[in-house]
Amino acid sequence: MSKGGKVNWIKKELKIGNELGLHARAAAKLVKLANRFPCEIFIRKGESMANSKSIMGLLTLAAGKGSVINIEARGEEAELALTAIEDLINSKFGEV
Amino acid sequence: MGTAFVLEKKRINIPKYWINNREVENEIKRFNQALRKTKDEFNRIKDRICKFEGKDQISILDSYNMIVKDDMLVKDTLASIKKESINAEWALQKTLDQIKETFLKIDAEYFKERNSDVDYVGEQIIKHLVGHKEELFSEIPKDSLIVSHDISPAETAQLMKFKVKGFVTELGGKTSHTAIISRALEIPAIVGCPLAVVQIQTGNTLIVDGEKGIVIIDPTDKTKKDYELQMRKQVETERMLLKNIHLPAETKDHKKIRLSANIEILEELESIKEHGAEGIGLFRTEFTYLNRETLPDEEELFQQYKTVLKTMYPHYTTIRTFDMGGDKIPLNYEYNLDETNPALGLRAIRLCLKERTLFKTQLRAMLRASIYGKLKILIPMVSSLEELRATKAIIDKVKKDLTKKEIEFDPNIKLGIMIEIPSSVMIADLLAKEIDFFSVGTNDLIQYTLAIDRSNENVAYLYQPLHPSILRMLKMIVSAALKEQIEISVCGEMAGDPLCILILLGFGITELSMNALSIPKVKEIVRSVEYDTSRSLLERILELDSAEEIEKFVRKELAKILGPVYTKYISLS
Repeated sequence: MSKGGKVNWIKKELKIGNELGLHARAAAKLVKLANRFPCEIFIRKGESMANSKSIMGLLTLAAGKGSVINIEARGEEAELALTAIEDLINSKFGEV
Repeated sequence: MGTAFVLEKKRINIPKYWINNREVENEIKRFNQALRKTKDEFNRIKDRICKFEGKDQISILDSYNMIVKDDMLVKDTLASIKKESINAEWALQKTLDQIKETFLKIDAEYFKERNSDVDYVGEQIIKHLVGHKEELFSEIPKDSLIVSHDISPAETAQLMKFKVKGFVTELGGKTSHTAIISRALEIPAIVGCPLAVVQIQTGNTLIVDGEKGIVIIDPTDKTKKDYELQMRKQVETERMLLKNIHLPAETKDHKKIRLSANIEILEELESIKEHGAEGIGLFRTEFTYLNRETLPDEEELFQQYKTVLKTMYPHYTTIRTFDMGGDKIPLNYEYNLDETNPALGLRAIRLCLKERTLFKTQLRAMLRASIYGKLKILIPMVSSLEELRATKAIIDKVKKDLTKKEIEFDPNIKLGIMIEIPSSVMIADLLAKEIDFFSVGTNDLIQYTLAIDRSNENVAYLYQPLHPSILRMLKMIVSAALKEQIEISVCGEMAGDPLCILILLGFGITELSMNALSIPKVKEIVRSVEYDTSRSLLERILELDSAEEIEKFVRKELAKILGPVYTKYISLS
């Protein structure tokens, strides 16, 4: 995490609200979205942290319904990325 | 109910060895190639599954593709190869073990189970690395019930080819992807049945009740009888479906329609006959080129085409020249076609015109085979007159070469083009002057016209065969064909979709080519309606302004015309 000198991570805390949590399909959606942005985006849940561009990373977070996660982004378009991910999570990944 | 066949998985031996610095590059190359082959294979399976619809199944393969290029997997493996100087298989195995450890630490069952997906993907990559040929299913007797420790979703999709009656696996749960796919393919399956391989032996009589989720080993006579009765009812339904295969496909007022089949592989030939197809309306040839180390030579293609043509004679066989490109690229293809928009890229006839040697080889094989039956040649994805003329020039050249070498071919082979791009619809009148037939590929036509990729779950709902724009396109194509008096057929999924038959009939389309399994029900619909009625209904349909309204109208009219046939085939679709 200590790449480069200046650390200007922007962060956001969110709650996973959809029934199945960050399961395979939701994680896939998140990866696809994250890949559209040039910045680094990590997701932290408790002690564990995952690169949001890695589906396996996201799955190993085991973020079920109600989990609180922290999104951290740094670099070009970091704010845009954060907002987009927030929208996706708040829309419950388009699931009913 | 059937006889059990216990499938032993052959374990792959993973070679482990040290490499020197000069070999590092080569190992990395091998690893990357294996990743690409794995991805290609998943894409092919995805293609197949798309035909059975189901967003869930498609997204599973999407997530597999993501795993293939996942940093956790790729970066770590590459790093191991470089830092530890070990071969790709070993490095990958190490990475997989690490990932597994992470997954096993998870408490939640669902997430823990996802490790099986990673395992499966890893296994596929390793298979490609060691060049393991999958011949797992070649030994399965027809009509057996498969018992196995685990069957991957991809293998499940292949199982249908072997007429397997059902399967039981030890691994897997309700959320297992194998379970989801088996439901889509209507193969009875019990997944997550512990110790099945130990308790069941090949040859045991088994009852697999997919609905109740139970397996009965060597059932008592009474249980057998109960299930036999149930099965007889099912067979009865199937027989009803097949009863009309010998009857002509014609409307009540005797308009003759040709119902032909689409095929991809030779194994389907038998099923075509069983379902009463009158010819092959579309033989997709690209599958012979994919998933293998070397491209097929002329002789191999010739033998294959000869078999199809001979088997189908006196009916004709329409062979489509290879539709590769996009996500279907031969393994050792020298160009890296990593295109951002494969659907709009170098594919089908565009690729043929660029890869002339490859194209000519296929054409020569087709022409040589033509004397063994009735051949029609079909060109995919034509979008302009120039393309068509360039293609015809190549075909003429190949014919001249053959004549010079005194190699025999049928001089009267009909040439046709797929109409599947809006531009070709708009110039259908010009194209029709230069060829013998049109074949409307509705799947691509719908996707290109409505600008949607139906394997993209976000827009899949927009895939609407009954969209007014599609019907208007069909109208243009048909009138161009009528004017030049060329043959016209529909070979996309619309041709096998009960809801579309009335419309296609109304347009005066005389050939529908579809998955052979759909032929009996389409024939029954054709035989229940009058051509005249379909014509006048179509006029009214063309005045409606949305897909939804059209569907409502079609359903209502069909219910009236078909009576009980309607409830049997359409109310559910």
